[in-house]
Amino acid sequence: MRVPAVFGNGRVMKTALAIDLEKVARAANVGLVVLCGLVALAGHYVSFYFHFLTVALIFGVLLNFYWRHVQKRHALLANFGWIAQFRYLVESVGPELRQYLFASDTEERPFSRVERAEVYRKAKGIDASEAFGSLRDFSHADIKVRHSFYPADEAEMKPFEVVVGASRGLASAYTIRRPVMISAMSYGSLGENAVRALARGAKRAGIVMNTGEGGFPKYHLMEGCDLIFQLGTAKFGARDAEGRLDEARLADIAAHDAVKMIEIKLSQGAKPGKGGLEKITPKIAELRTVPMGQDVVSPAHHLECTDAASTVAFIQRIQRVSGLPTGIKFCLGRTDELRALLREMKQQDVVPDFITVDGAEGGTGAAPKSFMDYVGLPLFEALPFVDDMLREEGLRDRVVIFAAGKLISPGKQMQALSLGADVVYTARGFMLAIGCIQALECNRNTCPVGITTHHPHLQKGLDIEAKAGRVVNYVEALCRGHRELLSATGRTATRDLNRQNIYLPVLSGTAALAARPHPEETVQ
Amino acid sequence: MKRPWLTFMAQGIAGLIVLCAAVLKFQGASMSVEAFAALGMEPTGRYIVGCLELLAGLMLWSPFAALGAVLTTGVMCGAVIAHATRLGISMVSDSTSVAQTSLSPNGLALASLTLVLVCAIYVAISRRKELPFIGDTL
Ligand SMILES: Cc1cc2nc3c(=O)[nH]c(=O)nc-3n(C[C@H](O)[C@H](O)[C@H](O)COP(=O)(O)O)c2cc1C
Repeated sequence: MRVPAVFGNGRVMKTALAIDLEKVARAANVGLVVLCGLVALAGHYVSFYFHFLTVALIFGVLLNFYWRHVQKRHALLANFGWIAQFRYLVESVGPELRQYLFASDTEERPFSRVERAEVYRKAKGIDASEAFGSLRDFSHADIKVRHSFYPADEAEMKPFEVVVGASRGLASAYTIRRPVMISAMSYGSLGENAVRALARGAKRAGIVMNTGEGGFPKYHLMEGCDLIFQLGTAKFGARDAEGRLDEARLADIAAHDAVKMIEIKLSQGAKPGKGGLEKITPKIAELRTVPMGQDVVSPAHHLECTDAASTVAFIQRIQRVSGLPTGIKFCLGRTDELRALLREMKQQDVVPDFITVDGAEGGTGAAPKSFMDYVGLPLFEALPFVDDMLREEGLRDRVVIFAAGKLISPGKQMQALSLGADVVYTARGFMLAIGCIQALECNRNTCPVGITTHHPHLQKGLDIEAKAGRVVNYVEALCRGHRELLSATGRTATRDLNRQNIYLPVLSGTAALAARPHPEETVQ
Repeated sequence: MKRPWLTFMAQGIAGLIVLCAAVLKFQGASMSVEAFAALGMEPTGRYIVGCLELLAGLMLWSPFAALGAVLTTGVMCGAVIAHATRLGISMVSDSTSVAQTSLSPNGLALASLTLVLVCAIYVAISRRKELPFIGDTL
């Protein structure tokens, strides 16, 4: 027997199960009309009840005619008619089917079911152990914590303590006493119930919460936790009409007892080099000191910061106006620019009290897809770089490093702490702790669990008191995990961790190429 | 939607008439009973259609107006079929029990049917994008 021809030379390969979609579609389209006629006859000669069907089928026939012969936007509908709707239907329920039925426990993104389940368990206070073996893939490309032959005793462990602003001799220098903090999420991207649940939990757990760039921290202040006020590129809460700094407003905010530090956001991992537009309601507009009805787009950078010199001058200005420890947050892009910025800091003798390194894998309320997917360095690439560069410039002892980027479990946090971070931040870890189910709708105001929405009926499900308890449980479980891991590394204090405590995979070809200094990357 | 006020007006009118028709059917007004008897659907069919009309009328006055308009159009198409095949299209009543003054009950029914049909089709077309599932393709 001759083998049927293959693709490419005009003939189509036939397989036993092939369905000729075109034939099926033609039958379906003709069938619809025939059925309509039959039912109409039945309605006339058998029982008038058949005409219920007649009417429905007439609609179907008309709609099908429109799809096939009138509209031009949907090629599938034009070519195949109504059965093409099945494709749209199946496609639209695909994400749910995959999430509930078909996705394996380790393959979902950004967080797999295994990763989320770990946070849920911690938040609910059930820190169960696992059986039989890890579900992760093990390969040489995996980063691992290196343990020691000689684990440290619990009794020898020193309490966690990082002081921010000490090197400037500030009276307002702040001591961070737990290794985890709540990373920036603006009021606006979050609803007020979520903000208050996080803030109340932070207060009870004794951790610091970042306000995000949502303006005056009204809902945070209600709960009295220690705050890092974030000054976003639009300077919500402390802006003048043109979007430049309003010093009086910033000083007012800094004067609140609960506000302990200021973070100047230069960029964030999910949308480095890009501003943004968010949901706006009268309440949000008020806290942002922006007139309602006027869309305010966050610019891609602070209007005051156009190069290294002006950026450093701006940092100094914020330090002077606020009188608080002040740092900057960025996602690393070009390393030559960072080098120039650090040198400028030495030049002007102005050093931020902390630097927040945000990985490109970071989350957001809303960002363009290409920025989320393709711009910026991932945390574990950027973090050692920043750490090294600060050391090379002799600034490391004046700057505390915070790190963020999917650090939602003690293991990953430990890795970041070994790679140069002094304290870790997580945003989505805490969202998961207060019940986020990763529906990926933060930009649509339809969050089914009431976290990233302003609809009262959706927020109703988010009970502030109950979720504050989850935050506390999560923090306690994280810290317990930290102590266990720290002990395994043989260290007695988190600050003693370094790259000896971590296994870094051998660089791939491209990574090795990229690590070589670029000819143009020399800064005078 | 091009002329929102026109759409809202059409929704109002169609909803009102359809709801009145539903009430007449539930009350068992003689005209409805006769019509459904002629169709061989008395009384089950009368109640089914009454329920559909009630639902359609309420939907026309709600955020689901697009769907309500389609439902209304459907019920009215059924009525058109009934008149065309069984009940006749005469504007003059052949029932002797009713005084033949100006417009007969049958004629009144036909007139309101036409009005509702026009309104409902207008609403369905101007709100077609709001229809579930297929709205995007229209
Ligand atoms: C809903 C949401 C809102 C955010 N809002 C801000 C913000 O206002 N300012 C900012 O600098 N980062 C913001 N981020 C980024 C986080 O602060 C953090 O840097 C990033 O998500 C990485 O941490 P994670 O992986 O633990 O979530 C937001 C993230 C999320 C998920």
